[in-house]
Amino acid sequence: MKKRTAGIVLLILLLLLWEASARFGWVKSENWPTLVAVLEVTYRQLLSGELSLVLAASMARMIVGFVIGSLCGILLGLLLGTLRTLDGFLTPLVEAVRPIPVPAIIPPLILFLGIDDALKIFVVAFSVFFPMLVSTVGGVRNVDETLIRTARTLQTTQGSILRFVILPAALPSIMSGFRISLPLALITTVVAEMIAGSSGIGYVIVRAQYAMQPQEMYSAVLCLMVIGYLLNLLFLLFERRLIPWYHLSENA
Amino acid sequence: MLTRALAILLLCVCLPAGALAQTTKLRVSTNQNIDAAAFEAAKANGYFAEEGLEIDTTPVVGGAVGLPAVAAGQVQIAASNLITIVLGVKNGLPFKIIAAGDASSSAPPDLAGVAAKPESGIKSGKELEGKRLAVNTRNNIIWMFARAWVEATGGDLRKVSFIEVPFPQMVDAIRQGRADAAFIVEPFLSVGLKSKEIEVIGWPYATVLKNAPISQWVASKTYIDQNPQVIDKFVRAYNRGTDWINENNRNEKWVSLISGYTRIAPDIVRTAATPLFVKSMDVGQIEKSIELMRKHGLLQAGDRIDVPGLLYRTVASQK
Amino acid sequence: MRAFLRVDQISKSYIDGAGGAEAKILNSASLEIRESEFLAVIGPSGCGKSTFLQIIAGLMPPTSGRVLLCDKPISGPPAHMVYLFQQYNKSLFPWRTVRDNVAFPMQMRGAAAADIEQACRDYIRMVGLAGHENRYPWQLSGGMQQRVAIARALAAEPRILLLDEPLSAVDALTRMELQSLILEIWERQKLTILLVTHDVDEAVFMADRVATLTVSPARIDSIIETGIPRPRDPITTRERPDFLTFRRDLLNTLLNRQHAQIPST
Repeated sequence: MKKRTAGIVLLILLLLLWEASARFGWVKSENWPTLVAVLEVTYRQLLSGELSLVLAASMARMIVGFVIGSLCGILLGLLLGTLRTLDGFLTPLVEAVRPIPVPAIIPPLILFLGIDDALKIFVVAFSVFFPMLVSTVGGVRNVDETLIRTARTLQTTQGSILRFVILPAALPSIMSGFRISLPLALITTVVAEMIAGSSGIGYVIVRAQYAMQPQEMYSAVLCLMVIGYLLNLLFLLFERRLIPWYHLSENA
Repeated sequence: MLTRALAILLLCVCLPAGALAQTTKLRVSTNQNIDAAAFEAAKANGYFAEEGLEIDTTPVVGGAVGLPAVAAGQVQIAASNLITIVLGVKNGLPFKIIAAGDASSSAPPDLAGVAAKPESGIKSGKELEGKRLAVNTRNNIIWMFARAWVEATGGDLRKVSFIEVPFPQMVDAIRQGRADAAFIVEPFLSVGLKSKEIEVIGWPYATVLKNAPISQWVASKTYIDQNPQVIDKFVRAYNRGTDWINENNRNEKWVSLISGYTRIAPDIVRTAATPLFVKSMDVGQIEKSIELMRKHGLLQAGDRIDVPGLLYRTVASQK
Repeated sequence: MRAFLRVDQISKSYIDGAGGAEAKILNSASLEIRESEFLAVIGPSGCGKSTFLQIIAGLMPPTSGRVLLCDKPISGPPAHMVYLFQQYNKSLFPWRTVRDNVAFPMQMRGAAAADIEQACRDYIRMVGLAGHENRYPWQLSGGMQQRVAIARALAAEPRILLLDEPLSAVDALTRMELQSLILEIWERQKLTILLVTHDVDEAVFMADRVATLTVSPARIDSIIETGIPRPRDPITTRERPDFLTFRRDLLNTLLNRQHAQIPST
């Protein structure tokens, strides 16, 4: 509790520093508005409903991409984690494709996926897929052999071992993959909208920059911060419900 | 099979509307900057609607996804700059320019200029040797004209380093010393000049190639061949937009139109320099641009560009 | 007497990863286990006891030889044979409560929910954990965790229980309690138990017969039948002269001191 208070105090200090630096001209730039101006714009746009529409469009893309990417990552991860032979085939490919940055793949992808939601959802799924795959494979590999042998001696079929032993045992690792890929999905959504814009929060940020409306840009950035924070909070709640045993045992 | 099914489906959807008026849907990708002014004017004044065109704008800001989207058939018409178009054609993408967009002016103030701090003492390409010159993207129009200007004003290109800085951050980059000069477009240039912290040291377009073709409207050859009358309608309406922009230059209607679609504040729009909005293209000017592309390595000696073939018949051309 | 479970000359070798040398763990070990008996196999640490037991459980294939259950060779873990691991903390499912751990084998064979509920209650009571149903394994002491593992093993309705040093990681007092508990269950459920241990005291106290494994490569060296009367008492049984004799002889064997001079009592 004390830690949190300190964190909030620091945040407020930084925000005050922002306001002062812009108000008293410590930072001179057309791109550096005062916090008050940013909040004013945010408030106005929230009232008009404009901002909510923009955010909803981005969130929808992000969530769809996130779900598709993480499902594919988990399924392939379970497969790769359990079938060692497949591993040799796929690991080099995965390692080669993994470091490709999203901005680099967008222009060629336009040829196949267009410039609309399919493209943006794909790149979000693409960016989420790899951390999910890696953490699932890691989770599956780290399942104690004793646990699997125990299940075998208790007459568990291979399919049931995967579902009732390997999957729950790998769940904490899969959840840590979620934790990495959730902010990644948000970032990728914004980047994709920045590059192949026309709607969403990323587009709003670039448009505001080119329209010399920095207060509008920072208002979008503030919203992203809040969304990122809320997503993490939501995730923690979800995690506590899904693997309560894990957190409790960590603290035990 | 699938295309036929889709066509039938489209027909069914369009029939009730079509019974009233023959409307064609067109998806157009534009950069929402000053270059799109004539297009936006045609849209706002209903010129497209009068031609029976329903325009769905896909605005793109600061990005270069318009041409790939045309190549993929995602949009039918896109705005792009001449250099990008020629590079696309060189790579075998069958683009044609259907409407001339805008060009740089013949005398300052122009739509873009090279700026530096007054106290830096930098006045030409010569003084930029050993210094950093900011451009928005390498291997594109701004970069090419910046290089040509450096050379034209006595600078050795090998001694000038070009760095990439997005237009909105260029003035800050000079202020903070991250760049010694920058080739800045409007409205960032005039807003920066207001602070008196930077000054214009050169007008590359006017120095290198007066009335340089800047931005054009492009469609794919396939679409043009299949829909020549749609292209005719589009260009007719577009050219009316160009006339409107030229007739209303800088009056209040003009300011509010541009401020409306760019979201740039009216005061800034009023003071910013604008390009020339044109209805025809000078083949000689295009050839000179291509010559510059060869000189600066954007085209190799063996790359043949059929300049007249770049222009569709809707673009009036001058020899 | 017909062998209920017969271990027929099983050998096990590993190829050493680094050197490529072949390491022989078991060298044609044979053993016959009678129905409903309690047989203990003792051997020093690292002699291949676990390997021996895992091969019998069908968790690991032998390099040569075979294991016959009711005259049928086994391949893979046979039904009604449950293996109880030494590392109870690694063999319990940490995401399942005590009750859900015990329910696991019944769920796997598709038992009805009501039956599972009843059976869980019974087994949990049998191992003395009533009232702890909803706790997670890591909330329990080591001894309690092994009780959960025993209850879960029973829920699989085994006829044969293979115990792999199940009590070596708990404290001495808990070990004695669990020894009595296992004996009680063995008698009540008419189980056949094969216990592998390095604890001579435990082997003599619990088993009808005690087999000795020699050191690497391991094979069954000798089998003795103790004939110590049942029920066995944790204190008085251990004071019996025959208990002490068996214990001393087996210790001598294990410590390789057959020829040492030890004053007889």
